[in-house]
Amino acid sequence: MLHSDNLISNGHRALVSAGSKPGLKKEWLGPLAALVVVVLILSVLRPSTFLTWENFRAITDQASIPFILAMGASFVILMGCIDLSIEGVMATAALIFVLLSANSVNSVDLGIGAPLIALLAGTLMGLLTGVIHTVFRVPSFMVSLGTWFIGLGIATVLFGDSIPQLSGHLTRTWASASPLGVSNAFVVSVVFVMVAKFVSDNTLMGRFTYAIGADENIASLNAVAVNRHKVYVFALAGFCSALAGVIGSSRLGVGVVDLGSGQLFQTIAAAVIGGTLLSGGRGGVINSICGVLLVVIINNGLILLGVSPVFQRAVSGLVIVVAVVATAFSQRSRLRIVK
Amino acid sequence: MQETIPLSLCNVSKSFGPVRALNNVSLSVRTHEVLGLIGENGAGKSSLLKVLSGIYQPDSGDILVYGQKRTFSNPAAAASAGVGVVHQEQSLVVNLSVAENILMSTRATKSGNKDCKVRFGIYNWRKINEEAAEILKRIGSNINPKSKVEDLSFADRQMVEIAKALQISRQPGVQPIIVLDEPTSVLEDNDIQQLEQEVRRLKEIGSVIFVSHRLDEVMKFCDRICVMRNSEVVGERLTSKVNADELFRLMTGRQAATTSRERNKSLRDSAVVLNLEGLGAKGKFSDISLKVRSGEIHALVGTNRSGREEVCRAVFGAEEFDSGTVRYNGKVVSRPNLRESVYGGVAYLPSERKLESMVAGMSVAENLQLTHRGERASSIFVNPAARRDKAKEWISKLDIRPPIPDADIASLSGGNQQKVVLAKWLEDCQLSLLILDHPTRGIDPGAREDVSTQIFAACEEGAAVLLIADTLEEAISLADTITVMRDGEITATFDLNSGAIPTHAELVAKMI
Amino acid sequence: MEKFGDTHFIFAIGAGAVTRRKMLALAGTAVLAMQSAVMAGGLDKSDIQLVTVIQTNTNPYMLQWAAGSQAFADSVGLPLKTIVSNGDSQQQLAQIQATIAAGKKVVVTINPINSADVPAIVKAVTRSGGFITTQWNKPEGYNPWDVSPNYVAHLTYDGYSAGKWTGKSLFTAMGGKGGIIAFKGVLDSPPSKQRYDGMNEALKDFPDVKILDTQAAGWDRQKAYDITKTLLTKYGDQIKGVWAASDSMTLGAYAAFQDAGRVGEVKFSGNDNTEEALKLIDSGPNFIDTYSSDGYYNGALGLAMAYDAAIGKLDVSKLTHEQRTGNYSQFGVDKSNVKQQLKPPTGDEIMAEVNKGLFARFVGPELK
Repeated sequence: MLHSDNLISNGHRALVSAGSKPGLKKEWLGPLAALVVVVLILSVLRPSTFLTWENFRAITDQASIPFILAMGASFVILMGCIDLSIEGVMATAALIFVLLSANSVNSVDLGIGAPLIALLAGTLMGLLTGVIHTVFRVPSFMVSLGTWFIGLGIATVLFGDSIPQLSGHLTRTWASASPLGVSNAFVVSVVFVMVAKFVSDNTLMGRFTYAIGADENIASLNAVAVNRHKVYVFALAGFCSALAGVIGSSRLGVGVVDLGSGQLFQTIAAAVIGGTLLSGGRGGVINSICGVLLVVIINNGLILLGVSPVFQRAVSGLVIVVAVVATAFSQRSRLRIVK
Repeated sequence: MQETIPLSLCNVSKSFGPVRALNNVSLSVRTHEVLGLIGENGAGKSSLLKVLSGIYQPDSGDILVYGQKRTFSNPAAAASAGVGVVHQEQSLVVNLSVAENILMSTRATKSGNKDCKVRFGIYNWRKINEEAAEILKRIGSNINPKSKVEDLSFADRQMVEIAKALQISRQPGVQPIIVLDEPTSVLEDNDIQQLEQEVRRLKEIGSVIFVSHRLDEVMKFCDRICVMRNSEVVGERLTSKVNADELFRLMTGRQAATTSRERNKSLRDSAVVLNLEGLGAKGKFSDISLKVRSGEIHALVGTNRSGREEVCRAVFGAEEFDSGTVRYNGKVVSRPNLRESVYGGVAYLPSERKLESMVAGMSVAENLQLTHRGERASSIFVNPAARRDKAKEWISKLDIRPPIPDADIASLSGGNQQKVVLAKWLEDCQLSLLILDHPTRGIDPGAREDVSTQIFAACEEGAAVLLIADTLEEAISLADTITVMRDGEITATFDLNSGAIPTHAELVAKMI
Repeated sequence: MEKFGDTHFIFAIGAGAVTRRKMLALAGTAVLAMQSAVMAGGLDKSDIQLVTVIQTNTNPYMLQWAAGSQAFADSVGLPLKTIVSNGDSQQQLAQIQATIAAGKKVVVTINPINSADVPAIVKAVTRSGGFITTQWNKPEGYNPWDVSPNYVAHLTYDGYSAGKWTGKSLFTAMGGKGGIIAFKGVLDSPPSKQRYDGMNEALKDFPDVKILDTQAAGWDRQKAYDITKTLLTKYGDQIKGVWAASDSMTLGAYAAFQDAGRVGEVKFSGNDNTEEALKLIDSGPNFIDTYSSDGYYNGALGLAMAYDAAIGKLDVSKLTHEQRTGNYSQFGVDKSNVKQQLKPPTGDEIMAEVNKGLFARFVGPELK
């Protein structure tokens, strides 16, 4: 209806960016630089512990689940939406996986079927979130809040009255086994990341995600089936949470409801630190990976440096603030509206 | 004869409930012709375009393609007849590349994806970039198809939009009809030249419909001009046989008023309101010195990289400067501060209306009140009745339509929004300096006059005006003094009151 | 009623020179005066609703507690309402109030989320004529005898002796030498602090054992797992023992050691008597001990005490202050007694223990 408005708001951005220096070709150079700096600092301060193969193993293990979660979260955030259901879906998937594998509580053993069903369940939960969001036009924040608690609820019901433990040898060890030198969990997460990167750069799925994040209306003007696409992305995010739940419970050997406790904040923080803006359309896979690594390596470094637990949270919070300011530095312009 | 006409509308009508958008409109577009379509806001131009592009279906009347009756039930159908529309609003996805944007539009048509640019959802970048490069070359552009749209200037973006439109309408055996909807409304002068070349090239390939309300441009670009008013076509003229006044009369139903003012010679003794001495901001402008007196309209003229906008923003306090001084009523203002500026009687009308000066979602009356700092502003609870009265006053002064004080400002057309924003500042009775950045941008000629009248009135009250005009004509007709800038520096100053009014050519010479 | 107490409060505050304890006492006295009428006589069984309040139903200790409460309820033939607060203080209070509103007098035992939650809950219960025992957490200086005879008792299980026992057991198993890594729970929680301090006390007797590193893992298994991976790179083979304030954290660390293939000769110590820990203690040489306050017993005893007071069988006015904020015995679990712990007790077995006397396991006053 008001043609000039869209023109002008897009135009403003053009005015701000056009004619001036082209800017960094790659958006993730900022977070990557921050990461490199942190690694260098820790290497200098603790070469004998930080720079060991063992520590590399520790870091990669700690980063496996966050990598996977960050992929799902990135796609959702790139669209300008948010998925708060991570912890709930992880819990549901974990319990389903454990209860359907050889375990201490029942006599069911579906072998490979157990993780597959768990992944399916997670994907369905993501689908549910996506459908409610698009069909009923409920903001993703609210819908995924609901799915979060639904997930926790389902997991609690499944839990029964004692902790189910995995009894099969394979299920308990495959995630941590390291035939390739690094744990299988990490290998899976790396493969996942590479696939995600390919998808985001070279497929309709990825490109449309960016388009929707930039401007939904313009995207639909350009023949993007916005609603259908959003549902796909939320389903993907559900899949990621479920995969994380399966891997997590395999490593710990049990199905617990609070498996994902704290992961939501960490995942979103990693995405934001990496420069994937919550407003959508900016950032991506590499950004989020850098963000995850920053968080994991900082936590690792604080322990290696012997920072007292009392101060760890404060210090890591401080470092995160510095990293965020650094990565957003280039975007500050006096009249840019910041919420 | 009909068979040679690529597209024509015969007695097309369209209504929305009681509102008649198109009334018995007939129009034809010939090959290798640029047809201009002009009319004020609300005349029916956009409805006509929507019928042409298949977004609306007419209630009655026919659409003929080479003499054959056709129905454009959706944009794809119109595209298959060769109609490609470059809309006024940006339809590009800014964080994707040029080639991707062109790709996305082609997927909308059935034949668009025949050569497997996208297989199983995976992009074949080589093919995609190749095709984009080819089409850009066809319209004479050297934009890199891999560049991201957000890094392009407005003019380049428009080229991409044209490429998109051309791509959509590229059917075998069909000549493209490219519709340009208000293409110049955000372009600067030198970009407009680029557009001119574009249009000429498109004319060779097919036909062009050029929609605008800028009379001078329409006359420059078009072979034939069709005028709409009140949902009807009121006239068709060959450009060579018509002048601006007649077009104005057809468009508005009024006589063209003289918008130039009497040259006021007594300015020399007026108080200096704004005095810039050697003002500079690294990378943007340097050594800017000028004076604006009470009652004077001082225009800044230059291309879009000249730094004029930055100077204005710096004076108002929206941007920083690092050398020189700003003197306001004689006192040095060391770091102009937005709020202090407003309180000091300085008003700034930015060019990006929606982003920077109006609050969508609030009513017209509320927007009018946004900067009000008089007696009423001190109480938190403002008297809505008084507010509405004030709004009604301004609505009639500026002919703001629709004349409803409580209407959400976002529902007004661009031009009327601009009037509200202007009124907001003019309302302030203690205004001493008015900084106007493209105040009549996007406003049709009728409204433009209303706005100019108000600016003059403000000057009569003693305000000093620093103006960045849309066109050179506007600068010449409104200003007392013209300062020309180029690459951040002042290249010339003209005092129009001394009798020597500069010509276009003289100004342009100093601009580039 | 409320206003009377409040005005006293305000007056007292205005006076300025009154300590907080005195103010609480002032308020309490007023309440006490009004409530004393309810105490005499005792309630009729049919008028009672048994309530047990736990934090979550996915935590083994809580589940044992709930089972214990159920055993008690079965033994007196009354239905039991189990309230799960899920870590939400508002929910906790709201559900209790809803239960009170249902009409019957409530007899409650509660494991509150925070100390700060307690006064509101106690007030709600006692004002309605119900009876309550609290366990584990209550605010400092907020005492049952100041508040109401219907606030029967507060039961505590001191973490200090827990930490001391598990520490000693661990260090002994380590042969008295080597380095350990220690895991606290949530940094500012009393059980975490007490257990850690207890462990440190035990350390004094083992001069060749030293703490390599202390980390806080928030009672979370996954966090302990992640932290352990880093600690392994830092200390490697120096780690001969792992002490944690809860089994969940020990198990997390254990999984990390398993991943690294370094379980070897390392000894692990926990707390909370969870089934997984028990199995490991029973089956292998590495997991040495855990500690139990006996969840089944806690859930049953708390209700039993409140119930006896409610029906008039227990005369609260005859209890000493110590008995009303008592410390109850716990026990360590290691290879020697693990087999008994592995078998969950039946309802009868639980009640047999409870019937030995309400203060059978009473050890002394609350440890500060």
